[in-house]
Amino acid sequence: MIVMYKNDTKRVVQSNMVDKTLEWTTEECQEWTQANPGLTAVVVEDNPKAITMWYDETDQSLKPCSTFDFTVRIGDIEYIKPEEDMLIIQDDGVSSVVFSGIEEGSSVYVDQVLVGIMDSSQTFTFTSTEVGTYFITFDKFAYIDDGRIVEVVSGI
Amino acid sequence: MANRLLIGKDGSNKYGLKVSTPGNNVITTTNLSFNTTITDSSSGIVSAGGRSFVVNSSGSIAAAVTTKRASFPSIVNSNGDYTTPLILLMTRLTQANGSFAAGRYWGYGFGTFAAGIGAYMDVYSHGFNSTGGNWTSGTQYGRVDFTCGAPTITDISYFIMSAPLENV
Repeated sequence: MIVMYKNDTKRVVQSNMVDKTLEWTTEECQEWTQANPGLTAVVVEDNPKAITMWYDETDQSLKPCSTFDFTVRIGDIEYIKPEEDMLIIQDDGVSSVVFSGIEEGSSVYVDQVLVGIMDSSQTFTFTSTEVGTYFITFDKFAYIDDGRIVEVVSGI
Repeated sequence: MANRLLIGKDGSNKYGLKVSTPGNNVITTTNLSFNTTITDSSSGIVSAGGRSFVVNSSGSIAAAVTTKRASFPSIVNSNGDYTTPLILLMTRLTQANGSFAAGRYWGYGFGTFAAGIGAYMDVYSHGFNSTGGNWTSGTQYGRVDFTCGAPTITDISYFIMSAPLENV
């Protein structure tokens, strides 16, 4: 099968399972890679779980990704399943969403813009004075990137 | 005259019925017009009257990929007629990290209210090379471009399938 992985975290972000006779040559992989900056295409052994794995360039094999395990808190409320709940805060610059347990060294993005690298506190606090929908994401080598959507509203 | 009909066990220890296209030996060719031993990785059915779907390829594309597309070998019969494949598309909200759903579904956490998550496809039957670039020579490929309503938070999964084309 053909997989495409991110150059920085090595996580597989695209997989395409085709007949062996249709798998790409080295030249085809290079052509696709050149046309898609930040990503690399390679041919690997078939693996239906490839999209949850990362590509180890040293032994040219797929290995399972780690997953982020963090908690989400707004005020006194800890969200047990934050991926299923709306995370809403006030646009007062004080109301905040606190993400705890983020692996040190993780890249933190707000709306796909890198805002910093997680330190030993493993905590990221998000506040805003601008109404809108924000997508907070975390990314790290050999991890599946994860994130949450935060809605900032006026006049709760 | 080539052997064109096989009933029973083939060289891969699979049982079924196979009919090859004219001039091809059913024992050795992958150019079949009918094949009941189709598996997920089968290929080579390009023409004639068999009526069964073949999974050309399948895959997943994470939300992190900006340009979501996949290429597939063009489906063409011996008359040079192209057709587009049947494509099953499923999506999920990446933050939910759960199961994929076919069609549009409603998810919370996107905007103030629940919102529909989904995608649509532009399918081209031919005119591309294997990596999705413009075709110049050799085998022609088709391409499917996926457009998501919320591309940065939508994972997709797909199956590209084809049925044999009828020879006129």
